[in-house]
Amino acid sequence: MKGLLLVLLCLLHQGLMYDHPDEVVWQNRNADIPYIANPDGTPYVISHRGACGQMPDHSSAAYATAYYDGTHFDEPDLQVTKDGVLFIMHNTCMKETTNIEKLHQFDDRRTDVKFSTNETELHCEDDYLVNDFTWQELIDAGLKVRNRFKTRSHYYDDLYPPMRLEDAIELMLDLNEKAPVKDRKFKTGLYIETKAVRFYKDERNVDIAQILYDTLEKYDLHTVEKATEKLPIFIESFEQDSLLYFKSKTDLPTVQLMTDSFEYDLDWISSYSNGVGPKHTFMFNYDGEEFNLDKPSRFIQQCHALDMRVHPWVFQDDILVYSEDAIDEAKIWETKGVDGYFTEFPHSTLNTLRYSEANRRKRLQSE
Amino acid sequence: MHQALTYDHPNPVIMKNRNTEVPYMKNPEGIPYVIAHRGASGQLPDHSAASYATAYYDGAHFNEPDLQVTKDGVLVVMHDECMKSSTNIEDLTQFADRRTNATVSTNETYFECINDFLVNDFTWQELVESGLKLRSRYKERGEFYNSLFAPMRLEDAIDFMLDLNDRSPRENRKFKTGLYIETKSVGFYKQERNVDIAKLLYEVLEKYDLETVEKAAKKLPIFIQSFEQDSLLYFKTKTNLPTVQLMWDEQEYDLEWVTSYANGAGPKHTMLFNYDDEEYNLYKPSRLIEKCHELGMQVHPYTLQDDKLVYASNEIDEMIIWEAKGIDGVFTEFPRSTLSILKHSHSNRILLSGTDQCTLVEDSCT
Repeated sequence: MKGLLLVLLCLLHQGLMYDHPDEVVWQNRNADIPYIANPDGTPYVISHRGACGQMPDHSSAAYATAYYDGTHFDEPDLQVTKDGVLFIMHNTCMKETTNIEKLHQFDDRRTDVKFSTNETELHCEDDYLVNDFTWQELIDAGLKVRNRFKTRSHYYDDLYPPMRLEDAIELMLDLNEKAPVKDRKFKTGLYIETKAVRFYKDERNVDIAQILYDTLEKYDLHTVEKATEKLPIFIESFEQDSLLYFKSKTDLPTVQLMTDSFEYDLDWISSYSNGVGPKHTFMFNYDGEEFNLDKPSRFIQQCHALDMRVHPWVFQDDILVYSEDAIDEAKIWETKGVDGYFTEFPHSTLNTLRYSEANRRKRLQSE
Repeated sequence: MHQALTYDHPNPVIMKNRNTEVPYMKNPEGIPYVIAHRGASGQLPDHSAASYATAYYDGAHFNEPDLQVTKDGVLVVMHDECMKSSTNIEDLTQFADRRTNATVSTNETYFECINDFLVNDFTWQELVESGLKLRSRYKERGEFYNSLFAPMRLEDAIDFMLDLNDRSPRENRKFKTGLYIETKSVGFYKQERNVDIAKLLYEVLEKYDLETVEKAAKKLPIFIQSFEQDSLLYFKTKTNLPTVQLMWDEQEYDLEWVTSYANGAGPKHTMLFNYDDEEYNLYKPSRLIEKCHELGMQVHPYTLQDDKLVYASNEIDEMIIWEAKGIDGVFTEFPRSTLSILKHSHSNRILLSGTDQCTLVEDSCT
């Protein structure tokens, strides 16, 4: 009966890119993934683009600072170059977070791109597509990353080149080895996002999910068992196809990202995801609930009932939504019941979590 | 009664100014000042421009340079008189023959260089050309940024702060983000090396048009701090810039004497908990601070370090405890964190975790 239901669900959903069994076979479920939740019992701190509140987005500096700040994960977004190299950048085009406009040898490669699906939107205007360049070209030309917000520090702009996924993996392995974090059961890992999956597949004939899998395999990180020991890995995406691909190849935990412009079927999602990464608004307006700052989120409760962890995005100390200061804001998210934060200020978020934890312990002691 | 002083000074010292005439003496925001100790040195190498930049964007009210002097009289921003602990100088083999020992121990200050490289034995140009780089003094703060950033002269720090304030002004701030400058080893430089570091500092400030409160309030707020009273006395004979007497717990201080030449005190934090036979507690105002306030002095204790907490298990409780003592400012190595907590406690009257104890002095907590 369950199988039939899933078949029906499959038919209802978008034409999918990957052949997959009618019933997605779970190679694993959350109880079998040692690092699915923070063994401390407190929420995970996932550094969105690294500590990009202070350092350029996705620079090695952002990842290192986040590491020393005590983050549990750094969070690379993946694009692909012309020669199939996995390139860490949030945008599919390069103007916003690099110095590419200064590299005039590339003036003639400016282009426009528009690509929409029901899961994601891509819009580049007079911009430079990562996929139109080889990795070596960009490095040789002196491409450097910079912070995307005008109000954040620009001191480090144009100092750091972008990274390949391999560079990030090696950086994390190295940091964990040379400066292990005390009192941690697991190493500080990578929470990896595949972006523009269908664009790359349909328009450029590139299977980004497959390249990612191959890279993980090269580093011996493609199973939960290996990742648990070597470097914890999560796979996230707005595009379900890449998660389905992963679920057919490995038992690594997958996370479906959710934005408020689309409809989602949580039951269907739970058939291929170990967790969800919703925009934070989902915690406040789900299923007709009344807006409040002090009760657990219905959305999160529903996800937990479906055995999915919830990691909302994005927590930004300098762009607060529900309160006037970063500590109140973090506490509000905590009250909602989050299992992790995508944050751009990992040190700050950890402060609040440690304070909450101290409060909890003292209250338990006095009871 | 007091230490033999190096400077001739009028007796009694005439305070050219008092706190009401120093516009930036207190933080107009109503929360304690956040003074970034060696910059944002919790995350970046001590006294690097990067550390100062990060602290600036983190919202610190001041960056805090320590001064040493090179052989050719250049004011260099560095905490130690010798360079092993915060630079890569040991890797620069061309200097191997300049290793030396030096010790200073007075009732005001102490340093010890063992088989080390004294800043004052090098010219500035030598240091620059050698590829000298700064690094974090604590290994656990990370090595990622070690060997990237060169040391600064005071002039570089001043230029840098003027530039940052100009290009990226902080919103909703009455005053620019300033410099809280420490003269170190004043006696050592004067007696052993015949260099007057306070005078050199005054001249640099004058060169930048920052040597009076009026100019500093407009251009770049300046505090002058020292463990050694002489340098503060010197300044009080030359200018109306605010002076702060640093205090450590191995010395007795006559607060009435201190207030005759200092606008503020910078005590080690332990002195907020054990002054004048007070009973140790975590949430009552400090007797030392009360006394200083009576004498017209602001109090800025040192040093808050999120990764080396003293009174609590987490940063927020630690900051609440310090704040409850009645501080007017804090030297911190994690300015973003400290500022965030101060803003929060200011608006929330929050409780020390797990207790009913209200930590703010005036009102009762909700």
